[in-house]
Amino acid sequence: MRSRIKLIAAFFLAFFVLLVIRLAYWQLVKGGDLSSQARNQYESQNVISAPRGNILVNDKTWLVARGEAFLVFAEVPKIKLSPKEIANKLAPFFLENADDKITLLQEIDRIETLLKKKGLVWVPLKQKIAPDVKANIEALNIEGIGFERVEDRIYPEASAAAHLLGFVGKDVEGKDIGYFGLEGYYNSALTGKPGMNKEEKDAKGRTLTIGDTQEISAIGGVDLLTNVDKTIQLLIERKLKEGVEKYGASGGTIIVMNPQNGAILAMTSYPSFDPRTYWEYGDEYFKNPAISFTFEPGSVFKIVVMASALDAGVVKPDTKCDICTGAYKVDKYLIETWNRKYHPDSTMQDVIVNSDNVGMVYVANKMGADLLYDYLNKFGLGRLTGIDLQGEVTPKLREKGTWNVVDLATASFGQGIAVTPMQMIKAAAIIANGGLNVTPKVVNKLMGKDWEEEIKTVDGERVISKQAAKEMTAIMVEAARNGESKWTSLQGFKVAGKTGTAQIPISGHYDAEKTIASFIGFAPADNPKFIMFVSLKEPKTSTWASETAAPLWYSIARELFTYLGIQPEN
Amino acid sequence: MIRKQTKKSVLKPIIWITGLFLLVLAVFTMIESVTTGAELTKILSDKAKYTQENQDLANDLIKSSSLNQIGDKADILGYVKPTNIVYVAKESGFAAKLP
Repeated sequence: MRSRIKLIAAFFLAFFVLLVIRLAYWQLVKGGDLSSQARNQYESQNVISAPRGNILVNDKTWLVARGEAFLVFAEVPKIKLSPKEIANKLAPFFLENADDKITLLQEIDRIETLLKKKGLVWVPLKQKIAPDVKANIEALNIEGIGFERVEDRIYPEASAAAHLLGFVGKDVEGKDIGYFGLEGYYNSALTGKPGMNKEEKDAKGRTLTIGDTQEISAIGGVDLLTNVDKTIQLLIERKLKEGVEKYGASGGTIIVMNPQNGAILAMTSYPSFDPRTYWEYGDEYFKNPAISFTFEPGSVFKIVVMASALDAGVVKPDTKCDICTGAYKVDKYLIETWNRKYHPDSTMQDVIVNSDNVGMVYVANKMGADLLYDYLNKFGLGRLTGIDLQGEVTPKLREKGTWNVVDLATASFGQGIAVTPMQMIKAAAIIANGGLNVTPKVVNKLMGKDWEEEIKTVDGERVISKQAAKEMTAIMVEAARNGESKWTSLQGFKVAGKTGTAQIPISGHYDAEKTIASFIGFAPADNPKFIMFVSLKEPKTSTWASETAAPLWYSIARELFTYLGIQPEN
Repeated sequence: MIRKQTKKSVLKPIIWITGLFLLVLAVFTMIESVTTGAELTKILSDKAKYTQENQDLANDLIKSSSLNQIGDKADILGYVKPTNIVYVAKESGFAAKLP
């Protein structure tokens, strides 16, 4: 009897030891894994995405707005239908044009391949589908297909102002990031900071109030209130497209700015891209020509050189040119006028009105290379303008002290020197506003939930005297009225303007037929409300700016006068 | 001996009452907790619904602010841009001359 009791006791003891060992195994060895598995069952952790900021025009309506889209995914274990059946059902919703049979078959094949991949539990099928498409897919009630809300951008004006805006793409980690334009320049401010939400749930997915709950709120990106005027923006886009078609140009750029404070009212270039479908375009479309296209400006540049000479006091508006009797030889080159007509004893006003290259050589000779260099530097040439857009470039000025007589002569009429359209309009804006430096500025304010901050620039430094600016403006008014583009000018309005027909340098020489035609002008001349730069690349109907860029400028100005309330002089 | 018996008979109902009270309290707390959890879930679901509604309204507002669309509608409704603008000069004031 006793031995039986001992046996049972030993059995229980052994069982107890085994139990302790097993428990120790679950607790000490497997404890971590089991704990995390359990946590996964009752804990849920979500990233709260920070909404990206809006980009607003000056009346606080939207150019780009934050919106929502959905990621379509498949939870493979929950799928009841075959991959082929699911692919057949979903593919038409994933395509813009489901009528294209080849594309449809390719999409079906893509989805099926994704669903057949082994070892995957959660498979993303399509990025950023619209809410109405999501509703249509939901109506199909396909088990195992789910949706995740993601940030998207809404463009109420479609592809308008694409170069100005840039676009939102993905970085190497698959996160949204802004490229080019405002999206690129203000990416950090627009992005905000994502938050996190952690809570414990019961078996039915209800939140446990006694559970561990943590929430870190997302900080939304700030809104950008720009100086852009939507009416003017849409107007110049329409006009540029019409102008490019009418004059057979290969492209063009228009910038409208307030010369008093540098506010960019509108900016466009053609050809452009659609930020909603940016991946369909090559990289060359993304660069904004207004800030990245460098060109030899030609005669529009004469206003900068003449304004410098007037400020330096080396010439006066009525100073007479004593070399304007004919073509002028500089080193081994012969400088001619554009129409080979010469005007002896031209005043400086006549030199600009007739766009006289020889007259400009006279002015440059009076100044000398070093003084001209100093003025060009003060006008901001050879440096970035500081505009708040990603992708600005600048051609360098030839170094001071290295200019020879030919460099000086050609620079005086805008050859052998390169600028961007933005640099050119900035320099002309200095003349328009009475001689003060301005920094082109797209964004006026950053706007948070309960705060706003104005974007300030350090401006106001005097570049040329008020008197010199006034004299130059008067000369430009005469140039607009009586220059080669007088046929297209608007009677009664006091416009200060200048045409420029620049030749395109190709491998060491200038192309005989291809030009860049431009016109820069401001109005009303005495107290300008806007300054506008128009350029057309390689126009075919005429190579001259007076017959292409100038009429385009005036056709836009005609509408701007009404819109901005600019009245005729008398 | 009598005192001991009396003490026991007093202690027993106190233990029972306390135990019963704690049991009721535990059940009540659990019910409250579950109810609050359910309410919280409903609030969160309502929040998501209203956020969605808000987003839909914002989308409508954004779409309706599109100048391109307004321009198209204006054309359909027969609005035309003036082709000839007439500027009227304001007459300058004058003082009547005394006789």
